[in-house]
Amino acid sequence: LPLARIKKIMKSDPSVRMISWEAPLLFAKACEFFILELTARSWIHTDLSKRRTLQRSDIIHGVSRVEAFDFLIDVLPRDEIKP
Amino acid sequence: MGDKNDDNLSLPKATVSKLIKEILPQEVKCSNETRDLILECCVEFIHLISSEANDICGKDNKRTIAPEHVIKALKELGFGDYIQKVTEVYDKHKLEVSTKTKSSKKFENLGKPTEQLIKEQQLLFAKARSAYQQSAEAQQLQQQQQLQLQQQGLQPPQTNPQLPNHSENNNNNQ
Repeated sequence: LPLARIKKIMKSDPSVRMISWEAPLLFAKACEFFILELTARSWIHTDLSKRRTLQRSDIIHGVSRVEAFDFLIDVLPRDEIKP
Repeated sequence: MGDKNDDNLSLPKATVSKLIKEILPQEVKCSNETRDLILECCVEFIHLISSEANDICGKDNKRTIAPEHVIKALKELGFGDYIQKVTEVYDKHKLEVSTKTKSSKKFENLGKPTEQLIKEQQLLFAKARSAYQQSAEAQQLQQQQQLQLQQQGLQPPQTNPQLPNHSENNNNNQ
């Protein structure tokens, strides 16, 4: 993931002042693992539903399984949860 | 280039798609909509960790978000599992960077200050100039001698002590 872009996202928070050069590097790796974990957990639901295409509802289910992902509640569309 | 507005700041879709494909089995697809949602989640993740790291940084009385602040933020927010893998990559990168700077510093620390290097350079230039001038003078001398020889050619032949010099000059010029 591009470090410059990550740095810009970090700086969109006005309270963030200076960022060491190493920080975006750590973020890039952490984001990678985040994407992998989120995708993997979502796929579990896709598989259970016997589908072969990951859908948004799968993401929502994947998120609901992990307490650490609670911060995503506001980002996710609520009307797409399918049982 | 693309959107630079803070509101629309995002991550490259192609990179995110690639990461998603890496973890999914070959036959499983991810729609673009779903990929975009994952992307949004990732941006939100950056905001979250960044904000927490910033708070930790402030409590540490520092003004710059350092790696240890990021690591602590990950731990505080329940992403402790990521820490080990993230620090592995970071340590590896640090090693690579320090190797690079070491090799570039090899040339900086030869022990001669810039001034001295400039003086030495000027000396070398002066030497080269004088060597060039000497060879130019030698050429002129050779031409004069040749002229003389030609003139002497019209006169009865005499032992010319300059002939050996003539061949020596030739060697010098080469």
